[in-house]
Amino acid sequence: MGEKIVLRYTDDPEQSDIATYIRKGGYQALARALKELSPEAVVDLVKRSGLRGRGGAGFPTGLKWSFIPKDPALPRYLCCNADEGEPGTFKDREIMEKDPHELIEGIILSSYAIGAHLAVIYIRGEFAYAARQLEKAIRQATAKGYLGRNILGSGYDLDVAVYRGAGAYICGEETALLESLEGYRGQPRLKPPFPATAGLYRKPTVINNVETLANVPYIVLNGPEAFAAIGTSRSPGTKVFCLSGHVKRPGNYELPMGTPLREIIFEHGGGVRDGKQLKAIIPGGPSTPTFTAAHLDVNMDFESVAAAGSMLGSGAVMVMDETACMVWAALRLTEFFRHESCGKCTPCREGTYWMVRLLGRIEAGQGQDGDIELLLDICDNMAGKCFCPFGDAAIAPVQGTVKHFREEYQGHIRRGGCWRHETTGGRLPTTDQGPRVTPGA
Amino acid sequence: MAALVNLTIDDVPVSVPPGTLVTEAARGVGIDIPIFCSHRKLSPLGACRMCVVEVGTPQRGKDGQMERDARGQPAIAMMPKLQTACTTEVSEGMVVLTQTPEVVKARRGVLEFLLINHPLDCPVCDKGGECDLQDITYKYGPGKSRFPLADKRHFVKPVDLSPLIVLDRERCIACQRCTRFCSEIAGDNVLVFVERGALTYLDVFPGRTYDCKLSGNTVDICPVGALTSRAFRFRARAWEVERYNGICPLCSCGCNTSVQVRSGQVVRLVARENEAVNEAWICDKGRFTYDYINSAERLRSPLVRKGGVLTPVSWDEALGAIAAGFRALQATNGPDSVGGIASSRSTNEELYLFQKVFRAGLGTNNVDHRLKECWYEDDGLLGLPLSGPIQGLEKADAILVLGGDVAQEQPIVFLRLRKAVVRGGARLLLANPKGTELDRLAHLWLGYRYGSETALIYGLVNALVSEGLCSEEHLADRFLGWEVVRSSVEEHTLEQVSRATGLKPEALGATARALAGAANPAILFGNQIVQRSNADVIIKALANLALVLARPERGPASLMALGANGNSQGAMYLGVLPTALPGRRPLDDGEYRARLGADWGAALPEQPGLGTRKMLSEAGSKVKGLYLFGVDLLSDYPDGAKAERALEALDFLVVQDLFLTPTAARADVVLPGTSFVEKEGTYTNLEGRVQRNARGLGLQEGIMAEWQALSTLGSELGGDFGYASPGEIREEMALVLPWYRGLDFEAIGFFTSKESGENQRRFFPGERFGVPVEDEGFPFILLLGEPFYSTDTFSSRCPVLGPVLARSRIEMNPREASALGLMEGEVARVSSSAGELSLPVRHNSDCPPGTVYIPWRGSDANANRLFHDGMEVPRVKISVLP
Amino acid sequence: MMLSERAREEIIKTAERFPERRTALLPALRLAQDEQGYLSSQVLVEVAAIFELTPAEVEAVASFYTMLKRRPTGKHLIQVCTNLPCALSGAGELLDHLKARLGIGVGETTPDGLFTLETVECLGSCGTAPVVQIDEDYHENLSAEAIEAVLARLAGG
Ligand SMILES: Cc1cc2nc3c(=O)[nH]c(=O)nc-3n(C[C@H](O)[C@H](O)[C@H](O)COP(=O)(O)O)c2cc1C
Ligand code: SF4
Ligand code: FES
Repeated sequence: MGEKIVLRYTDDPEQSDIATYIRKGGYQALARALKELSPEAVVDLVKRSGLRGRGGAGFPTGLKWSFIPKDPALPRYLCCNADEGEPGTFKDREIMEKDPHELIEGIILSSYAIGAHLAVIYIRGEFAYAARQLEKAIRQATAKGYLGRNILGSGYDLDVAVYRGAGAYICGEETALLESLEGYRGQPRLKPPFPATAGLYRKPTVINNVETLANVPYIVLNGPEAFAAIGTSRSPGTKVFCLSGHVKRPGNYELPMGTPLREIIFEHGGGVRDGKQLKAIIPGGPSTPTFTAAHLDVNMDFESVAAAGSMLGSGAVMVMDETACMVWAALRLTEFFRHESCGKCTPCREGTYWMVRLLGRIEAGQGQDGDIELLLDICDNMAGKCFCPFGDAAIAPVQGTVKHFREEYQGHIRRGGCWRHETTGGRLPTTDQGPRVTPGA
Repeated sequence: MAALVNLTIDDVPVSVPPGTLVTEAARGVGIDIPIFCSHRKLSPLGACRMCVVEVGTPQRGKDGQMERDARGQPAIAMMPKLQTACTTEVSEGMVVLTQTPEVVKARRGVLEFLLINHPLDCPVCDKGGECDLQDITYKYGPGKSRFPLADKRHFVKPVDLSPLIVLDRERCIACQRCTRFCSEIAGDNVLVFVERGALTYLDVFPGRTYDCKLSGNTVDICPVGALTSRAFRFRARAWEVERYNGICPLCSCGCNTSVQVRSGQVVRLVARENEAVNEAWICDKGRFTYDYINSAERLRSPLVRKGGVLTPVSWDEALGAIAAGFRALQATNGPDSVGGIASSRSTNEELYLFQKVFRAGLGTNNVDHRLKECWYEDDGLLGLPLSGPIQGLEKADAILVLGGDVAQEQPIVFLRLRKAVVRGGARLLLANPKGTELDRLAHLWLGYRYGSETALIYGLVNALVSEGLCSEEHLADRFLGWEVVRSSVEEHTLEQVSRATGLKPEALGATARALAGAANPAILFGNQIVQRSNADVIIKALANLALVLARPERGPASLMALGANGNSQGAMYLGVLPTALPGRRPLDDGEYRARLGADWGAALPEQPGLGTRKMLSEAGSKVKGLYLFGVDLLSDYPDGAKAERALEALDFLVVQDLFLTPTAARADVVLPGTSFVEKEGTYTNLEGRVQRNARGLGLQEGIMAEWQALSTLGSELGGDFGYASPGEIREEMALVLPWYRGLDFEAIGFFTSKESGENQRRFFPGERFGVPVEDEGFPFILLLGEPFYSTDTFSSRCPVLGPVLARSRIEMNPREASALGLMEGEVARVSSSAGELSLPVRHNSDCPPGTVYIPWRGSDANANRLFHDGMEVPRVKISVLP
Repeated sequence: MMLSERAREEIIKTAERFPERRTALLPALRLAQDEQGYLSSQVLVEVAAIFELTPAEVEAVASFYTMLKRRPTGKHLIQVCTNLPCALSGAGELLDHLKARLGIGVGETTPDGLFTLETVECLGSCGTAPVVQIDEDYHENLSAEAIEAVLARLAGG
């Protein structure tokens, strides 16, 4: 197994304690940076490392930081995106629960780099334990002088706050996150202005994913070259792949960028469970189009996955075997998107509602000729026409499954229902197809 | 001005100022881009996605130079995704395409999405015919639905958001116009979206109502039939109504409205845009006060008292009786034994005629329009332009509001003030004897002791002088009388002022500094000044303050009177005052008077007339006959007992009104009046802007327009009154009154007098230093005010307003009320030296200790029982009923 | 029930930590819910007053987030993740088991007021699916037998 960075020590049950963390070299990057490096130099290191955002879009982190206006009079903020809501993703949680100091150190370094004196970790509300771990780590780090006023005698001050969300996937979207953080409904904001110029409290703001920030101490300590030596040239470093579904050993696997899908699923994940055949793979979370067994040789880095017609996304690799019905899977994921749509824009609000009803109808055996075309047309009417990227994500399950498993849709329509009803008893975990009559008044 | 930006939209070249949105640019060249969520008065949202277009921008090389294609045209890089035109600002060389197949499909898509869950109940929807969803679907939408009916989302409906506004949630398209109106414009934040996704719906907080004085505007801007007006529901289809350009006569803002009439009935009023006055908004009082016009109680014929009974007669007989009645009184008691009081909600034409009838027909200056408002008691104020552009408030950077509850009294001015503060960053300095809704926007709040206004004002002058915040040299140089003011200021030390007003010297200092530091200071004063018996003294002090703030580069601070009625300014300009001639000229300007008399073909009386107050005091002695024109004296005169006595003492009373009011019931001759919708005429708003109101309804059978009745009466009295139309009256006004000169009556509507900018050149001599007197017997100061939904002849006859009309009550500081053992809602007796009333108590922490508030005319009692003319600061005692 | 003085102080402290007070709205609602089990209209009015907001503004925010409850729930809130990874790993069976065992449907509360059953979208624990969140705690790799033990413990204590 190649070099690990962010999950290197997560097997150590004591890792979350600051003493253990320091013993293993923790906070050395911080000490070094504060002593030897100017903020610009830290930005430069991260730029040279080629680190790209691990939150889904893969935007170059150093470049993002360099958009922050230079004017030192303007307050600026760092927001750590710990909303981890993309289904199938559970990497940030592991980092925060098991090695919180790694994230905290990354946050201090990044805040120093952009000149922020307040950093906020926006963590999804359900992660109560992770939030407690972070709070503890912050207390410990503050006690040791790594946080608070005049950090390590450098004159640099930083306050880190843990801010718990309250149940809304959309708040992972960076501008919705800011709205939520400011005490509003978590609905995305119009861009421009971008957060780099008008983010939190309309001040320059950097928003980075947990995994992204957790890589920063390594880069500062070992140099950008060491980081860039891992992974591919355009997608350097490691990536935590969250393996779930019908595999023998689900879990987080930190592997070099560009590791082939086959290796992730079969070598690390132990292959498909119960000797079944692999049927479909969602490579980067439900927001990314579906793969099939034919895609097993795709290398998991930003470019290769994109070239193969999907996206690396958050690195949530969901595996489905031959027992999984693709209409059902698409329905389940579309229900998720319907449930999480913020409701601000028309195509997403109504489109997800409509797709759920249509998929539910097909799955229940009441599909009609033309329903597949209708589904695709709804997708087309949403694609690129929604207010925020959520809308594009919401059509991925339908588009991906229809593309590769159209005959399964047709089968549902022809035979009047799902073949799983015969083979597996066809249990649907939920048939909640969304609101019909709501009280109102 | 910055250079224009050039772009093309569907190949049409467009040049617009930078910052223009593509939707606006397209509108300018007649290219239709459909919109729902976008509204030019609201911030761009980009949520409905209806306005998507293709956008491209010129490609630039590394050197920043525009790249060119093979034909030498700028190479355009089209953006990969469609863009919302409503959020996209134009840029140089931009290319916008609004008709490509992509755009057409996207539009259909959005419309289909909007319609899947829509109830499609257009046949029974009030919005039908003027619904954006209908119209845009008709133009751009899909022809049929692919969505099964049974799958539709349902909501409970309709829901009463308030007594005035009804909500149908299934029709709502979540465009957020209404909620943005609440948060961005009105600032009340009571209407919100709750839940999320497809479940999102509009709501108010459980158990509350959409309580806002501007709520009807959300009905106007709702692009579908989700928000509807209770008053208009099911009364007419949009295409059946005739629309007339009206001017709201209810308050001094003069909002522009569209009066909509069907089968001889006014079915609704909606806002008509006028950027300078009301932008796109009107208040709910203006919007919903119209059913009185359709009331069956309207007077349908003149009445003459015969054998003690008011009996219907012909107009000839009634007008003849009036002429004869007045002439008879004058024959025995002299010309000044008759007088007239006209409502300041009348049109300019009526007011002009009214005073002309008295001056040229009856030969007396006994005319007035003032009831509660007492300003201009002093001729000295005639020269002051106590008005300024409403729009100009947006540019003010420090605004002092003295004695006015702007949110209640002039909601449309409130909106400008809010804009000035919220968007323009103006500092709002509030000086009020009691808390108001505006307080939350205030930068500084001065809660002064009622009655100490002049002290407060001279305190500010003192602070300006002693802190060296004014240019004394400039003041001495430019204006007469600075020395007097300066020395009188010295007599009022800040400590004295502090004692009199109850304000800390620091607060006065901070206010003075905020005013002095402003580039564009403005001073506004409201009803608590205008309706005071010593209003003239306070206003002079304010005028002095405005002068002290003068700077060589911009002159004095602007001084604006809020308050009073829809056409108070017109009434003043037109000389419905005992000591001023039309055209704002003092009566003793002999030359002017002579010229006017010559124009009118009559010798005009020289003797100053009596104002309302004196006419009523002299009723039965000097004054024997009165003509009340649209005035319900018993209800609206602040000293109820005096009005009662006066009517009792008169020999001859003429009342002209829409209804048989308590006052009209006492008259000898009653003439039916008409509503503003039946009038063709002009009004002058608080800015001095003359605006034209078009007639929307014909006259009922047997009704004569006021102008015609007055003309006939004038002729009967032997004057030169042969007008054939209100237009002819206006023409005469333009001819004989310098102030109206040049007024183009066809173009009228956006006219502001050129002379309204006259400048004050002298200080008023320092005036009496007001200090409220204590009175053991009556421990509370009584504040009287006009609540937003005050009860009057009109509002009490609009059924829809029933639930919202202000209840009569006494508002007290909660602690003081509790100390007296008065719970919320309990009835207490309030008595003054004039009289007493029993009213329910309302706890209100906006009332400072020692001060109680009572609305002048609530739904069930009239506070004019508690007031008499001699009271400068009314005082009362509160006692618990046994 | 009124917000406790302690909660009030905590809210104000949080509000003062951030450049804009309103940031503390979500934490305040969470605190209020922790204290009272759900967000009654009365508590929303109180919270609104602390932030100088209208109750409607607070309602708009509260209703957006699924973890904030406007209605009381049972003593223990059982939330079964039914998103795809969990569904692929037996969440459906688990849910059926819970329904039968508790005798209630999704969104309902047992008559004794002990348990409320809900389904939720991905809890971020897909590597250890199926997962059920009970109150603040995650129960991972759950089987029907394992959940029995948990329920017994909760019912007992
Ligand atoms: C609907 C939606 C949900 C998202 N959820 C998350 C999330 O849970 N965690 C996250 O880190 N990024 C999420 N993102 C991506 C963020 O918007 C943002 O790009 C990211 O936090 C940037 O950090 P990075 O540059 O470090 O990746 C989401 C984006 C969208 C459109
Ligand atoms: S696409 Fe639209 S409705 Fe969906 S989450 Fe984004 S803004 Fe909200
Ligand atoms: S009008 Fe542009 S998105 Fe609504």
